Amino acid sequence: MSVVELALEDAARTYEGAVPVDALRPTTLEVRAGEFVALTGRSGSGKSTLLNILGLLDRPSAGSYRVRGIEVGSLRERELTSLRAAEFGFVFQAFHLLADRTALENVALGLMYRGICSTDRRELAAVALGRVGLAHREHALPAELSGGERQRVAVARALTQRPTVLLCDEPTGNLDRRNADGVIGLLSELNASGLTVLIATHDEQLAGTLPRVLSVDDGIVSEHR
Amino acid sequence: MRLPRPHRSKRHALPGVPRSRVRIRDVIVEACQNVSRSPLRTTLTATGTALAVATAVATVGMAESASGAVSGAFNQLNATSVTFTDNDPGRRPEVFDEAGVSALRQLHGVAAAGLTWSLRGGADLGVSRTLVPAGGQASTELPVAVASPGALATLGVTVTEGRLYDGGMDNRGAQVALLSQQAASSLGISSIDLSPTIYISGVRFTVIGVAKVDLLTNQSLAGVLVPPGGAAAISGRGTPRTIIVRTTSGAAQLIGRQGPYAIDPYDPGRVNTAVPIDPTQLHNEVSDELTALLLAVAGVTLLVGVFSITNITFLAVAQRRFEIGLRRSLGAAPLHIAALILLEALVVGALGGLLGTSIGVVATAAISAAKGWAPTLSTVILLLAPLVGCCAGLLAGMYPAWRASRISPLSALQG
Repeated sequence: MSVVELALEDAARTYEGAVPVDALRPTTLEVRAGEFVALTGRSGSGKSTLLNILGLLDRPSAGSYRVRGIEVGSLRERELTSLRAAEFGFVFQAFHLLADRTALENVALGLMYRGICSTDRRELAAVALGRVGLAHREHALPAELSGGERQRVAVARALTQRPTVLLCDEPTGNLDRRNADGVIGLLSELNASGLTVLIATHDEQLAGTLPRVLSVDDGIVSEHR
Repeated sequence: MRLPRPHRSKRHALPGVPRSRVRIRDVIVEACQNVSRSPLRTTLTATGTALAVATAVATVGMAESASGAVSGAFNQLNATSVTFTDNDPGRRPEVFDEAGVSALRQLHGVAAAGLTWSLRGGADLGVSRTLVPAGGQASTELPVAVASPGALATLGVTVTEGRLYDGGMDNRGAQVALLSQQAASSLGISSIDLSPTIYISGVRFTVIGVAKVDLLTNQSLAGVLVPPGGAAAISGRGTPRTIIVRTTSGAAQLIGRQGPYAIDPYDPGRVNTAVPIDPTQLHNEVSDELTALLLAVAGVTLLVGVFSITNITFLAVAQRRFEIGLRRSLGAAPLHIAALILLEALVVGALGGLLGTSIGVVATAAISAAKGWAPTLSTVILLLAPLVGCCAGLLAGMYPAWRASRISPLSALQG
């Protein structure tokens, strides 16, 4: 049995305001190393909130959350940053590439915060681009890339971080079917090599192909399969 | 290729988790690249600082150049003239005489010295071509000054016609006179070839020369000049006696201090001394006043420059919210973000400082050339000015850097 990578225990997230919003109701959940999990649900159902909490971009307002056994509730900002950078890679629907930097520079960006020298950064970024099939597009700016290529660059950027968990928020939301299939194929390959992958998607067809599906509705998470 | 695991710090609070860290060199390179990626924004941001530094440099440059020009214009004649007057006229024994002048001449640094005073006018001190009764209508009121031969030499009096009187004439009590060109004209004397005579208060004097007098510096010599020996024959009151001294270059201050002791060793306080302003002091005063005034202007401009960088950097941070959030999600700690923004502001400030220094130097040279001054600018200012730009950048970057470090990755990436 593989080790528990992520563990939520009665974790909830409420956004305070004039009318408090329960974006995530108390949830208990475990994700084991090497799993490929889909989070499905309508827009606004809370799947992005769950993904943000799992990726340490947000903290639960109640309950506990452990990453590889480390309780994150008591961590300071600096420690949270280090843990996030060490364990998680992110792929966003909007790609989030810097428009004025080449594909190689975008991929190498995060390595700067690992204390890696520029020569090694470029080498590692080139390897990661090669791994997603874009070795020939190193010097292209994001505007010169297709949607699918941009998302592959974003995946390559996440891979250079050597994450144990890849969190993808609607990674195919801005792609046509052909490009979407390409990206999902790439993520499947990465999962097959041992990487834990979580995808938030409202694409039921895509979710149907994945081994584990968590359904989120009005902040309530339920095991679908 | 197998991706290497990055360095893991043993001191981290989370065992087995590599601490987020960044090389200083990388932050500097990143800051420079970010600044160079937006040349227009960088130029606009740096303009405020550049103008302030240029103003400061040009200010100091102009002040230094102008004060140099002013002290240069403070000519040699004025800078070497010292006068001594009697605080207690009429007191005996008289020390403002040739003995006092001789004592002064013994001082090292005295080039020439002489005695002079004016004869007070009135109805009984008329000057005329012919002998007229006292109070007669034919007399002309002209200033009559007594000047020893030494005083003529000290004042640099020359003649356009005839000759100066000398020590021999003075000692003999010769009743000779020099006329200024204006006095000769008003008395109707066009030539001295026939040794014309004039009457001063009824005493006959022979005109032996027409003196060339700089009326701007020697207004009292505008009329008639007579030697002390000859003046003894004229009745009437005189102004307090004055000993005038021409010193060698740079000795005026010293002679001004020593002179009273030479004239009256028993009561030097009786002697009132007038020395020219110390050229160094004059230079400093002019420089200080100009610098203080214009630096105040530069200071205000610098504040505007700092405010400008703060404002534009703050706007840039708002525009780069997404980029900052992305960096945070990729492992940048708040401190790393703050350092990056601060360094970018520092680079912009440094660019502004360098640009401003260049503009200031060119402005100083141009203005000095237009005014005919020798351009002067101290090396300290040239080295200090770019540093002022750096400091302005740092100061201006603090608040935006702090705000940037507070941006949460989630809000930035969602926004």
